[in-house]
Amino acid sequence: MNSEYDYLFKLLLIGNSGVGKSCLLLRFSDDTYTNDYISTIGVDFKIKTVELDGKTVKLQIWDTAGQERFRTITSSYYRGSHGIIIVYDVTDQESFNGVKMWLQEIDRYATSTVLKLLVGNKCDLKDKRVVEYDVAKEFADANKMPFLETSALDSTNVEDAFLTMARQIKESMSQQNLNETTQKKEDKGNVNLKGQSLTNTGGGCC
Amino acid sequence: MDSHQLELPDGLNNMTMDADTLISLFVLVVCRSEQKHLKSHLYYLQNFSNNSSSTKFGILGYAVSTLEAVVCYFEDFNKNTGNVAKANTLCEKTKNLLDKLSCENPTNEVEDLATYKDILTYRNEQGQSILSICITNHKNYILLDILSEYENDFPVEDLLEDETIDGSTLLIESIKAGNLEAAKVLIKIMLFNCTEEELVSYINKTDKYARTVAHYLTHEMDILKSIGNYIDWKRKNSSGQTPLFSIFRSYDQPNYEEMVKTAFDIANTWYRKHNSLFDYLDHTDNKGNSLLHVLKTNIPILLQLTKLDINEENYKGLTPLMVYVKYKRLSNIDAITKDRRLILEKVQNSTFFTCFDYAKDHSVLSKIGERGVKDSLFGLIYFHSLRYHNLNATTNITSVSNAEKPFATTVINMKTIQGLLRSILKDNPFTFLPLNTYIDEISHLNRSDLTIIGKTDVTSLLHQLTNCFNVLLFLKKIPENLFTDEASILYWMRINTSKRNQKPSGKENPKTMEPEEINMIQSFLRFNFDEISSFKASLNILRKVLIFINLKSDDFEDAYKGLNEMGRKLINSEASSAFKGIITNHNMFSELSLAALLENVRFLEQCTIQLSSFVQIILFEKIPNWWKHYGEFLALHKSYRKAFPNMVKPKSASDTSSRAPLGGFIETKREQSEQRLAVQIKASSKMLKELGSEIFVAHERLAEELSNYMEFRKACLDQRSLVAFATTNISVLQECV
Repeated sequence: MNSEYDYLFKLLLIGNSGVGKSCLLLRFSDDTYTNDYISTIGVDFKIKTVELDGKTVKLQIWDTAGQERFRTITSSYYRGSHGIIIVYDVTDQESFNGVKMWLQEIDRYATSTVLKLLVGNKCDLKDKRVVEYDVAKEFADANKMPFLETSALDSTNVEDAFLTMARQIKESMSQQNLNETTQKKEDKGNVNLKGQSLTNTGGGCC
Repeated sequence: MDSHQLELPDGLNNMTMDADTLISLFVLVVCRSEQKHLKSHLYYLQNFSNNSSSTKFGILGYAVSTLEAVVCYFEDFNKNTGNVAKANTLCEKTKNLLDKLSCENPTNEVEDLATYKDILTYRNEQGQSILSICITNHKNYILLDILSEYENDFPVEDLLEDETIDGSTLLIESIKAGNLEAAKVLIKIMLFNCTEEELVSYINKTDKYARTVAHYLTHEMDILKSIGNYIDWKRKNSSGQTPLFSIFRSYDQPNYEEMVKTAFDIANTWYRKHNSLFDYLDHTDNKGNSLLHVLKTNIPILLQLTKLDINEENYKGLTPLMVYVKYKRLSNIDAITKDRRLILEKVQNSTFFTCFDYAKDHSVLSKIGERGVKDSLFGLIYFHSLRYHNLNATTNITSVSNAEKPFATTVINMKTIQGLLRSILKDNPFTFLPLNTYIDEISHLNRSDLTIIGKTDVTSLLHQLTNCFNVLLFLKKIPENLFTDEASILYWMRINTSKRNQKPSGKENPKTMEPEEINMIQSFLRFNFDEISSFKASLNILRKVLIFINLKSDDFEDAYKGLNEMGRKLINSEASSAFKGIITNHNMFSELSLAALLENVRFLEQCTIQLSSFVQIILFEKIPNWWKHYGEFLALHKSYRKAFPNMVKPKSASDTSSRAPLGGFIETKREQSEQRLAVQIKASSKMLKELGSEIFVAHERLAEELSNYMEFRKACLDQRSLVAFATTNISVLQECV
């Protein structure tokens, strides 16, 4: 089958409402930015194809609702996701405190193999910063996930965030494929190159 | 087909929204749809495709996941019975509060306001908040209670952001609802708590019609004074109207004039605050209406402005004057007709109407007629508004009056004018005015002349009559108050007829003219003829030069525009701006002054030709004829003396008796010959007397007409045409500078 990509990855953006998830997505996919959060448009679902180490990777990036009343019902989005980017606002302590809760959601609904990335957005607002880099870095290290500070406003690290996640997923998939190939050599089976996860132990319907 | 590859078209991508909004909207839509068995539908969708990737990836996956989230939300909500009870309680409480806020409910207080604290964030389907509903329903006490007791729930930031779906701010809502008390409360809060930047931003927020709060101000003087300095006076709504324009158009307010004056002053101050002068051109709407078009009264505040084109047309081709005439704005007409920049007879392109065609009222016709008089050749009389009543053509005539008012306007039948012209012509057969031409043109008038093509001829005729009667009044050929009414004209004509009948004819007293007298008359007429011919030639040249200049001015303007555009495209704006200096020359000969001068020159030329033709008849026909007959007379006398040298001697008796038979025959022949010569001499003498009398009378009349003509010519050319032309051009040049 002739395919236009080598990998298809589903990425999720989660985090409290107002931290800038939509802006990050918009900046990465369209390289545009809007200051008016309320009137954000065109950002709930984006597809972007990137080249990684000679491989064509198609990223499907899903935006999710961050409002508290919808927090516990967005588990449906986790199904089949390869990577999850947890976003907080460096000027909002509460949003950083909420990262713990979001990690719990991931543990509850996502697959155990899902990859995570912590992103502190709005780093351009230096005067209003309340979450220090070191604190967040330490937290990320403790939870074994990479950490980046970004600014959708001035594009700082936006592309890096998504590419970092994509690269991680690709490496993980490569490792996984290698294992499967070893097994299937014994069974003489085909190699799955689509990138879908073969294990689905999580993500139940509420 | 692989659903993973499915992507929305570019256009649709721009219609999506963020996830929070999407989920909220989806919840609303599913709830309102009252769809049953949602979980069954969801399960069916999730398992419709054998390929599990369909619900994990792609647009379809996202949609199904979103639906699942919504279904889970409802399920989670329903699991908690407290949620249902709470929802019912909130719903009931909301209804109660809304009932108290209803405009049908006379109460203006909510005693148990605290019990509604948890629903104060309510918004209705129009996007109105509780505060907005209070404002629109004039529940000001409740509004004040909410604002004072729940200040933390309604911080200034929220007040600034409170908008309906239409984009109306609370302040806009209050103005629209006529709730000035609420408006003042809001303004006081804003002035006390906001920075100037925030105030400017808030006051100039627009609703879906692109209107700011200022666009809704019609008679709210206090509000205008409070926020006037923060208004962006250049902001246009969807119709292209600025706040000032909107205020100028709010005609039905009792304090209209005060609002106009105050708004204009505040706008002026605002412009100066922004380091600029009031720009009249900023306030033209999408239909080309300027402030001058829409202002109902007190236009002097606008007439003083720079960049003002007093004759500017809107998209229908109506000038401000036409608008005033159409809607009978007498004070505006009075003011604008005093402005020298006004083109009274500007023609509307689409209909070929002038302001006179829009005038339905005598007082309006009088006003604009006065301006016509002042602009006329000698400022004495003006013919306008040819109309038909019962198949009779009538004209309005505005003339200088000695009565209480300085001008009088009357309606006169064109037949009466024609009769008047005939009467004047009888009294002044050698007048330099081409009265016969006008008499003929009036005879040919008919209703069809009011068509578009005919209008030009009618206008031309009225202009000629205006010039003609200006001259007649100027030379005092007719009395000043002749045009008071039709009866005055008819009476004057009868008096003139009576006088004419009593006057003895010159033919009854023939005068013998001596050759020296004829020579003197001939010299006089030749001198004048030469002078008139020379002037006529000069006028011809002047007329052609003016036409040439007019055409060249148009060419120059076109060339200027072309060069300007070429410079902008080929080089840069600096190059094109180099041509701007040329505009001074381009306007040196304004169309207005050229047209007026050209018309006057044409009239003067017609008069000169007319007078020249009279002089020519006498000088080159009648006088040569007289000399011819005089020569014949002398020849006859010479023949008589030669043939009959002894005519004066008495006859001898002896000669007669001695030649009785032969002499008698010869005598008879001789007598007969003498008689013939005598008769010829007598006839020739009579002819000479008649011709002489005719020449004498003609000379006297022509001398008078020549005197009148010289007086008229000097006044017309020097005082009116050239001076007016120069004055106008100086004004134009000054405006350019």
